[in-house]
Amino acid sequence: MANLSLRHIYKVYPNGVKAVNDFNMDIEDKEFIVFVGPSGCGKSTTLRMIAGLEDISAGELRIGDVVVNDVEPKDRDIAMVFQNYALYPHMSVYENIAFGLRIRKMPNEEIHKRVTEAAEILGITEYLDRKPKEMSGGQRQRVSLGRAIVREPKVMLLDEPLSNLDAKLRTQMRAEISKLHKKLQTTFIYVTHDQVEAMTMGTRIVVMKNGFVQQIDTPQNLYRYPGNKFVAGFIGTPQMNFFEGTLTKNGNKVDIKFEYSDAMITVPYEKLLKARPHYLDGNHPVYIGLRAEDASLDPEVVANSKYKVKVVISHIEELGNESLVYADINMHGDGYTESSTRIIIKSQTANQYTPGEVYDCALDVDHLHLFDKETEESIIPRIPEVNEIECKVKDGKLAFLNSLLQLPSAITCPEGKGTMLLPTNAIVFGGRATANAVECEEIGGKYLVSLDVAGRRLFAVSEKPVKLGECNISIDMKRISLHIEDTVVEAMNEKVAFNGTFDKQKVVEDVAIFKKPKKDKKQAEEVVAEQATDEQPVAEQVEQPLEESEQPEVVKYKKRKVIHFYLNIAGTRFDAPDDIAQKIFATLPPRTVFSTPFRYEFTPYDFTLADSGIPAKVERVLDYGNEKFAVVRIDENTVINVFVKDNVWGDVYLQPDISKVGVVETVRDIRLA
Amino acid sequence: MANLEYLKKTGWQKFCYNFVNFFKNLPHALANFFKKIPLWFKMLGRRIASVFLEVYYAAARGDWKTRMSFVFMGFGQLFRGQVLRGIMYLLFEVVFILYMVFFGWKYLAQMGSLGEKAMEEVWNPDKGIYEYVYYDNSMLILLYSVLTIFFILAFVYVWYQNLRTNNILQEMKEVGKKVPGTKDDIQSLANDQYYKTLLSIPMLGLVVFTIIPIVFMIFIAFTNYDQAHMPPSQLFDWVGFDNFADILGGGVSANGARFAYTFRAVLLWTLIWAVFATFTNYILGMIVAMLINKKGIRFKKLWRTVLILTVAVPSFVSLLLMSQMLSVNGIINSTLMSWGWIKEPIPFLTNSTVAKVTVIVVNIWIGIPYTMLMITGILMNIPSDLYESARIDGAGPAKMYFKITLPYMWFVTTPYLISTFVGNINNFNVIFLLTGGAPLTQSFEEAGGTDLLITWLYKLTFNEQNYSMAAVIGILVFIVIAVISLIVYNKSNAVKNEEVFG
Amino acid sequence: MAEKIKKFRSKRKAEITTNVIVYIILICISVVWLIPYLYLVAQSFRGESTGVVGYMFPKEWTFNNYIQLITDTDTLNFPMWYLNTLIVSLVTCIIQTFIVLATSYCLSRMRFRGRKGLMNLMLILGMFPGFMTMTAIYFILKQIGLTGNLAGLVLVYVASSAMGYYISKGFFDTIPRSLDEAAKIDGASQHTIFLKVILPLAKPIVVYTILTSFLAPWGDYMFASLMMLGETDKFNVAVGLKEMLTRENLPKYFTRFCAGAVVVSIPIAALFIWLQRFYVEGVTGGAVKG
Repeated sequence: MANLSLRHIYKVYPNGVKAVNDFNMDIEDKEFIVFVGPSGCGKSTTLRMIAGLEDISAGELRIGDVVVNDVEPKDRDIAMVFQNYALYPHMSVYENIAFGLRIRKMPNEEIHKRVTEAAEILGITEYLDRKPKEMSGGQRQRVSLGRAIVREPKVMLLDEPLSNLDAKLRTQMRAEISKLHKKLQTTFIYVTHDQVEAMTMGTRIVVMKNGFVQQIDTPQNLYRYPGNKFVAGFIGTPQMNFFEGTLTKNGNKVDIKFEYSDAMITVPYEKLLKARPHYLDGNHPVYIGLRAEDASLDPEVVANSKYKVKVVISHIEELGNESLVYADINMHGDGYTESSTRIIIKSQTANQYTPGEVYDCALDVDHLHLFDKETEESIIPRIPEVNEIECKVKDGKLAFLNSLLQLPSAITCPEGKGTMLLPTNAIVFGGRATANAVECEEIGGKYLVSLDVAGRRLFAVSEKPVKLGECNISIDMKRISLHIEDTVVEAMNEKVAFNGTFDKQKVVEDVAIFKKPKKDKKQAEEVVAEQATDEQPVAEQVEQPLEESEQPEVVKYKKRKVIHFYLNIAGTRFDAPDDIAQKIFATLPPRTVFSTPFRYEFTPYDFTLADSGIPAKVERVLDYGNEKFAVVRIDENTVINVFVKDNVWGDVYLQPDISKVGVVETVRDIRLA
Repeated sequence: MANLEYLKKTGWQKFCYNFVNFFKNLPHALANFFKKIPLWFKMLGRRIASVFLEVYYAAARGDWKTRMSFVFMGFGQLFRGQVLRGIMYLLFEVVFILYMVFFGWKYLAQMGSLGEKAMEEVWNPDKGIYEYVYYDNSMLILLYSVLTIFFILAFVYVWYQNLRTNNILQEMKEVGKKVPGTKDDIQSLANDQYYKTLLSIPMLGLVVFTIIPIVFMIFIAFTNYDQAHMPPSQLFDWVGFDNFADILGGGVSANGARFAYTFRAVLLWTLIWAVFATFTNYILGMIVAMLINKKGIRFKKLWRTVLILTVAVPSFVSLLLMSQMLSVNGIINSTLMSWGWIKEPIPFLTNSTVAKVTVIVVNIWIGIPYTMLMITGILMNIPSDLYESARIDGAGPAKMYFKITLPYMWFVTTPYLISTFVGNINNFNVIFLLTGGAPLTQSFEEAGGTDLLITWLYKLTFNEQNYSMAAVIGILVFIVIAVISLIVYNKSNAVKNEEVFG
Repeated sequence: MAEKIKKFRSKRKAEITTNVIVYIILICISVVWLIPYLYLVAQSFRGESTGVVGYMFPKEWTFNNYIQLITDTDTLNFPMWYLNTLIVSLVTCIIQTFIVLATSYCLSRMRFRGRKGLMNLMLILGMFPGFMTMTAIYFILKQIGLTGNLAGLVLVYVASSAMGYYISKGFFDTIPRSLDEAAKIDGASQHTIFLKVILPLAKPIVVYTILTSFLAPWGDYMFASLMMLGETDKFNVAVGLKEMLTRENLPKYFTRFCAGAVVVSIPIAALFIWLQRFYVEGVTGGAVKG
């Protein structure tokens, strides 16, 4: 039983096509993970990389803490169920299931026990002597499952196993697979293009499109809080209604105007508090998403609702217990074809609506989804990014809500009135200002804290849960940005990126030659043999015996030519850590690796000033009160901010903390670390 | 946009249009084809460049182990953990050097001259008679030279691979990757490198018994190896393109004109024969298959078994039998005469023209069951809803045949037709066993009225030992087949494009 | 209503007439096809003379021809030829099957550098007339001393058999790859996959390959005649039977030829008919698109 970890997994084909882009995920043991998405999105490719049927172009795959990138499928302790069952036609069901065990030379008794047990679980005991072609699709699929579970694998991989079955069988098998999962308590990874399967079976779902991960979340969260328009439209039947429109803030109300029609509703600003502010200026077109069940034609609901639009009915699809009403918010609309004005509304069959007539439709604005028209990302994320607060600057002090803060010398700002953008990660707990924490919600491992500050709702993000009630906060001044009158003062740039390469050099150095301990050799061999079953790469095996046994005698030191590898960051060489070197070699062929451009990324906190390192010239120091940052120039194009303890001047040398480097291969845009 | 103009035409108009278009497009198609040639050269150039690059890398960036491998093949492998491979490389180098020194060099040196002196009569004082002492044997010289050339090419290739592998190994060692050792290598022979295990013997056979003989024969085509120049008693020499000139009408040697004339006639008949043999069998076979397959016909298995008999009985038996039955005093003539249908025996196999017809007819007898068998299988696979919807549209049986059956058949069996056509060009048995290629004609050089290129080849070899001419004909047959194959493959692509873009 | 019945009746009549015509055609075809064999068998029992005659049915029926075929081995040694051909075809069959199946499996399943090049090379080599290589092989074998020797003939047949991979490869291509992958995950090596998974599924093509490679040497005249130049004892049945029909031998050996032909044909025909299903599957499966 095992957990998996996929870090920066890429699949790049020789012609440059990237089938899978930067796939990152940690899968816990016993989870039921579903990869879902349209054809060609890379889900099957990812599954096959986990299985070992495809090579991993870049990144690290771990099964149970062991890196298995180069391990053969049969040694990964996984089992796979194929879409077309892939049963051996000439063997009986018993032999099909036993095939893998026979290859592993398991004793016959054991094989028999396992096969009969598996058959028992799947209900195919009476078919054990039949050949696959004498069985129906569902039965064959069960045999395929049997073949997989009999190996007692760490991970079960299923590649669209139900796609070849008819609808009724599919629902039945869905339940059976879920039951199997609960019984076996093994990690399941399931690939499908059917979002209903994904939603009903998965504990967590990975939505993919065009090789990119769109969102990883539980079914409920995907349904309620889709991160972008694609996920919103993909999950849920019928598909979510999408309209085009604009948002305009009027005081504490926001007008939502629907494009291509006369429809408009006005909602209180509180409902859109988490929205990124600049979308509310009326100039940023958005997609408005609303699910069919969040709109209603029911006269009672309409009467009680404050948010209504007029729709003209096009046609109705009867489903028996309810019906789907196709209508259009544009009075001249068609309603048949999908468009920016068509709306599908769920309704109880009892109510009859006449096609062509105009009715009032109530919209549940608490379930409104808004997406940027170009990027299609949600503009009301669950964890908002910024708070927009009105403020005033006078005499070097920043006044907002109930606070008056001294502006640090780093921030130069004219006096006047304006707004401050306070990112949610800029509110730090602990400090001198007070606030009232009214809500603390756990979202995806982080905690969203709703604060009440002088009657105004602010959001903050915390790594740890915060107790409700009075709390102390302070503001990280380097992260705020101010718009005063016509001036914009941006937050400090916290991105540090250098261009560089990867170098090697032959160096003559003293290498210690150890005397091979003779009588320990057998022990060392045993140790190696033991570790071989843990599937550790050979390099590590060789090192450990030396560590575990007594430190062998050093006979002598010899001068040998050894090749060292360096990260050439902005012209300066630094010793390359082993794991980074290995990752680079795993992805790039040895010949081109030394001429490939890389981008090395750090944060401002990763540097110390020393006597050697990257030469840079300090241009000025930004003092944010509690922190100081030196603005240093590396070359004519590169200026970065580096955290310093005291003021510095002139020429300095930056010593980066290499263990924190992020490495990106810029040619194919692949992140290695 | 759909080409509505083209779609509006009737069948006949479309045919005319396509016909004219084909010839209009021919220069265009040829131009395209020739445009591809520089691309092909570019690819070739790139490959050659990469070869030189590898050698350069080995020389410039190689460490001492790699550099030693320039001279001692397998050196680098031995020291880097691939012991078995290293030994194999080294062994190969040793064998090659030994071979060249003791054997190959001699023959290769004489390749240009093909020998100085063939034999000599020498007085043997002990026995008191003149004896023949043999010196240079042109045939052996050529044969072993070809062998040596292949060996040299193989050596160069292996040497290059050796360097390349050394480069790769060196790089792997530098970056700390594990080098697959001998044990891993052997294990992977059953797995990733299984193709090497499976293909080694077949490829060996292919090279030794197909490639080397063909190259050898190609060389022979440029010599004058025939009855007058027969080793070991005589030498033969290089004659360049003389043989080709002869046969294509250059008329250089005395026999040249006759050869050319024979060649043209035989080539023409070969092509005619191939066309008739293939298509009569195909169409008639299809008709018979459809007759048997028709609804309402019973005893289908019986009819099929009767016809299968001709397939089951070895064809040479049938052919030899027919050759007797159709002979001048064979049973067919006798029966016809006894019935009074003819006065004299029909020279089925002895009159040039009649023999040609006979051969085609007999081939039909032998060949129809083959095509019938295959077509029956396919007929059963035509989706029946095609026919049903045609019936609803009101099509009669003839229309259904031409519009549904024939096109489907044509599409599905095109590869079969091509290979049968090519096979018929080389159909030795039918012609030789039936007529012996007869009747021999004075105007032909050792060829008869029904000879194909392949039987002519056989006769030249077997009867006249004119190996050089035989080789020339072999090469020309190859060219004919290659050209036809190219045209057909290109046309099948070109036609598709044509019909789309009008 | 009466109209309809009339139409129906006339349609039925037309149908019956067509069927009758078809039956007549089929019967004619069958007769024409079978007569030569009837002639062959009848002639083999003829007792009154041994040359070619102008009538079909013998006046005297006898087994003499068959007996002489087996016993009279002075000049034309039929039993020897039969044995030769049998040995050659058995050995060829075994070796050739292995080579063809190995080659086509490799080319179908495994991907390696030079795979496409290899297939193109074999395509081009196949365009050379087979006989052209014959002379060269003859010389090569002469040097080794294998001419006039059955082993040499086997070598000739087997040597270029790799080029016959096309049909088998087409068949292997139809076996879905997911079977290979499932076996790989189960832990099988390529070798195991070939023997335990793919080969059992390829029974039709294996039988087809065995059948065709066994039958081929029986009907080969071209190569056998050249290899065994002049050594009548080493002939195969095709060359031998043709020898019986030369101008000198014909008058004496015609009926014996018929007997020999019958002796050769019956087992082969029986074998073929028994295995014809596989032959058809092989041809339609591998040679035909779709």
